[in-house]
Amino acid sequence: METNLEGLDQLEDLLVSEFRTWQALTQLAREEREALAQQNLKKLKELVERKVLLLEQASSLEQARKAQFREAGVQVQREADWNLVVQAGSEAASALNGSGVFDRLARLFSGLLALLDRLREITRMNRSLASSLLWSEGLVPAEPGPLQGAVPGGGGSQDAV
Amino acid sequence: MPSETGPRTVQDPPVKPLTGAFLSGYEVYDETVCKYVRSFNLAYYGMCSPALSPGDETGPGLARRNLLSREKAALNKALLLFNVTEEMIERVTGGIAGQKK
Repeated sequence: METNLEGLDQLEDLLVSEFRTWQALTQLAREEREALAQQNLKKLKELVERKVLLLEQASSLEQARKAQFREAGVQVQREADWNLVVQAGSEAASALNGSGVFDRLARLFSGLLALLDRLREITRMNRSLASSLLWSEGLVPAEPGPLQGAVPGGGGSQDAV
Repeated sequence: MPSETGPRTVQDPPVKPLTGAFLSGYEVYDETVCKYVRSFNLAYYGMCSPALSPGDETGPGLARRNLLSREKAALNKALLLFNVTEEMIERVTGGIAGQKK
């Protein structure tokens, strides 16, 4: 039983880490939206580099969480859109009913799903902004202009040719 | 900041190539991105090959083209990551739902 309790604690820790990572990605997406709205591509580039790292982290945590989920011997039941119930899926885990850990896990899963839904919406908006910007004539000014500042490494030197 | 003495080459953007498990399965999208990146003479992603021919790396106006290319490449990379993000969101969401009996 101790092993399963430890397993559930580890699962909870992993879920918290996963939630925080997706929270960071959501905040980053908001910053992306701002950078796109301001056509600040230097900032966008920085954000994209951070995003790669965060996505890698989220992917690793997801894999670890899945493995731990199996190890802990629990199940998730979806009762409604965001209403999830975590239940014991094994005899050993059923002994932990009433410990409160299943409720906490259910809240974490629900929170994660809600967060992902929000990020999905922001990402869609950002995609529209980026697509518009990519194809807009404004990105390709006839003369060097404000976009000079967006050159990686400080810019300006490109005109030395 | 040291000044440049010659034209920048198109192969020196200080951006590490996107690698890792994320990008598996994105060949079609990558090809779309790379086609666009190549059209602006920029070997931006490690996945976009081949690099430019030597003749493309010099000549008047190259610096300006690089400037524009890098901006567009940043947008292309952002667009690629939007896809990756959405796919991961679906995977995590579906994974949680799929953990019920």
